[in-house]
Amino acid sequence: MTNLAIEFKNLSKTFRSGKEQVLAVDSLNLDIDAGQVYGFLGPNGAGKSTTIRMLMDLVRPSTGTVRIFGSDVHSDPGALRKAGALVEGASFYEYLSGRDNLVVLAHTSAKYSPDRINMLLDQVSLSGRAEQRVRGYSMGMKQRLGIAAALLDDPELVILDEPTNGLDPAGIQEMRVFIRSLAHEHGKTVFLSSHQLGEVEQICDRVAIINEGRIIREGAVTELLSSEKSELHLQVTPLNQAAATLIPRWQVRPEGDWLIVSAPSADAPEIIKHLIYKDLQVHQALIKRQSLEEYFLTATKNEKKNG
Amino acid sequence: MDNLFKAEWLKTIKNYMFTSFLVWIFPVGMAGFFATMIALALISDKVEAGILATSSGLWTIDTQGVWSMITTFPANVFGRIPLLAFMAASFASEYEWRTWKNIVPRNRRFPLLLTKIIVLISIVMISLTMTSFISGIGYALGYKIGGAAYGPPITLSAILEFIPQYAKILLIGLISLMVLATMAALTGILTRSILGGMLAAFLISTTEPMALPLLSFFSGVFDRPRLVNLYKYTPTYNIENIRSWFDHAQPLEIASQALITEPSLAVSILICVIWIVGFLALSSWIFYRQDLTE
Repeated sequence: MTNLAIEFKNLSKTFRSGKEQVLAVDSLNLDIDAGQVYGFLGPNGAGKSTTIRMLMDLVRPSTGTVRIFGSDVHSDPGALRKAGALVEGASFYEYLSGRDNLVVLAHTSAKYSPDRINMLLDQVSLSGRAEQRVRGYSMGMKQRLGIAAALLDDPELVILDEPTNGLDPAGIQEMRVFIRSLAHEHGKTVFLSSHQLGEVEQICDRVAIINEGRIIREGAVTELLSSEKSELHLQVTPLNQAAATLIPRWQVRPEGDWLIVSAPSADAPEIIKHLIYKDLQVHQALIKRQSLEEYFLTATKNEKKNG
Repeated sequence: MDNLFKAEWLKTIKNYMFTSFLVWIFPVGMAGFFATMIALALISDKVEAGILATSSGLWTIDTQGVWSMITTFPANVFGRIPLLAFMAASFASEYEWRTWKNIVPRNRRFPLLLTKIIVLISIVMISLTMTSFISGIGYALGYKIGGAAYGPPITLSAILEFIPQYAKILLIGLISLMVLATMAALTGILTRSILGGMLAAFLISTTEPMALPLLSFFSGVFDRPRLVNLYKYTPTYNIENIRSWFDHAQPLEIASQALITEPSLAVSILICVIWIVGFLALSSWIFYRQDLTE
């Protein structure tokens, strides 16, 4: 039994639009271990949704294969029974109630259980509105119903495409806790894409950044962020003397009363020790780590330059 | 399959907009028509005579009349439009409402397609059966008001004689609906739009039964008299031919087209089956290969 929840092997997709060919996903190779929350980041049009659609066998790959827990999603009918998904925003039969929509989906996968539907409606805080037609739901309510639909068959792998879209701040907070609990309390693997990078930083264990159909960075969130330079903000006097003493080894720039030093966060003790050794007054020192958002923007910008 | 049927039934039957205007309109319309006619007949002898004139005087025959709208030309030209539109819209709406993406990962595409076709046919069969019995009841009431006898008396032997007759018309209706439903699947899958599916349904419903005059016209234009013979391969002709074999034990004669040699009952059934299997296979193949990007 493989411990890999998802395997993308040499996955490519080319769409034909008239005479033009658009390469949406380009030779994507990615292995995702089970039991973690995995983030899939990329700007609009990067190929995230196409990849997720290939993962759910909604779109046929031009080349390559997708496996879920070792089973090919296209040739093995059992593979997708282990996965539940919310793909590109929640879409439902608007003339049906929230509950009826879940009943339809549960029957479709032959796993109908009224108790499970009740439990899920309760979990996504829709019990009170379950009998109301979806037409009257807000976007956030539809999104929560989409999460319930994804969890209907109690899947081992949960795929969530922009899960917090349309949710209010309290809803987003609830969703974060909920998603983390899926992995850490219920042992599920969560594969999520999001534009809200701060959110991915808080929820995900690992992350892949996709741009123009190719993976440009992949790794644990903490590793990715620590591999990049952080900034050390120092309130030190005299400022000019401090700058002069650091310049040979580090990049520094003054900003008001502060001296900003670009350096790996691991260098912070050495920098402070160095300033004290030179008899300078260090009043405050703050390490400002790069956020995933900054990291993402840098990575995609670098990729553009290199490309 | 049982669960898939339940799912498809629930979402189709609760789509009141589609079912009310395209399916239930037939029994409701028929009931409304007879209610109005009977109310008018109470105050007008002319209306009463009009009701009696349109009836065969036998409920065993009158109840079969409704099925003409999908089994005989020219009634089927317009009779099929709402039904084909209903079926095509049912397929196309899954694209337009972006709901395939929820459903397709939960089951294989062919069972999904087949179940949808079965459910759509079942709903239309129920609607037309209800309509046919409402027309029988309507005529019976019309005759009662007119003081005339409406037969045959409802006895066990009359019912036992009626059942096989009605089963035959149900079978022809079923064949016709299977052609319609598989055709609708194809139009819905190809157009991916409710409006597009409905327009395609309208075009097919009106042009396919008109194949005979069209083929006659082109055979004249290109001086190819045998071109007319292609008509005997159309679903419309063969469904009518099956009905003719059942009703009169002889093939359908088209007096103005001497070139057509009428197929036997078995050949007509075979041609219809080929259409059904062909449409189903083509729809399945396209659906199987289709990228669901909505």
